[in-house]
Amino acid sequence: MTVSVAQAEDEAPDAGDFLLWILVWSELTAFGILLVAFMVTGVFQAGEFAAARGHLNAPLAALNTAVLLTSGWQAARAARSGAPRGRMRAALVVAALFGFVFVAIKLYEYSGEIGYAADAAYGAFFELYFLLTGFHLLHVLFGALVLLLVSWRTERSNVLLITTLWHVFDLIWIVMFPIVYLA
Amino acid sequence: MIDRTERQLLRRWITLIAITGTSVAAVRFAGGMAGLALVLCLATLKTRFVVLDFMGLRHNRTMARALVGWGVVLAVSAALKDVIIAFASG
Repeated sequence: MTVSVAQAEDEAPDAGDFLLWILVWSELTAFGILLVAFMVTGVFQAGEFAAARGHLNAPLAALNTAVLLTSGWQAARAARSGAPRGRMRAALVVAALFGFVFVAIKLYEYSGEIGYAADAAYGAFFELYFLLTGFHLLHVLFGALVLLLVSWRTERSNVLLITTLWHVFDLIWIVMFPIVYLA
Repeated sequence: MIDRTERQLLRRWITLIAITGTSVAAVRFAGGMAGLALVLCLATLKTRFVVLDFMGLRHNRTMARALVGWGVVLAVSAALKDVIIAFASG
């Protein structure tokens, strides 16, 4: 199956963007497997996981959810049909900046949690927590850098690709937050 | 590209922030299984809004359902996990 060359520039991503959706679903599969592993381990180490959650900063993570949603809004503004290039560039830069804010808040959050990582009283919670959220954090950091790059080279196909991926990173966090912090 | 107006996107962002605030309140004041169920439902709702409006997939229902379905499967699994733990602990 080939990507349609005749694909209208202004169309939202659809089933014709074969490689894009392969990438999207590979990300969702990877994170889905990690989240399932987290939950399964949580069944067998329920006490340890409950104790470990007491050391997480859920309000800060909720703030980070708002930060990522705001970034997603700006990314959607950049990908709007008919958006002038100047506005597209500005929205991409703002989206990237909020992405970096997310990274900064997350690193600050980690500084308060890293001390518990080696404590056996919390089972495998913190290993899985840092793996899961750290993997996501790297995606956000990389995505924010690509948003900045694309703001410099605003071909619409590039904008569509990176903003679609950016929203996927947002979706992953939206689902991950209650499972890791609250469940 | 996304076929939403600036105003529509702004309204959707406000809705998403409001839902996030409601989730925080639900955990704080409801708690337990009911609070978790509410939070997971709200997370699914947020997923739906991001998929339909921010990703512009209103015209591609199959992909939209698949993406939201991904979130639903995980949310249901999280709820099931807590039910199992509750039963196991008696």
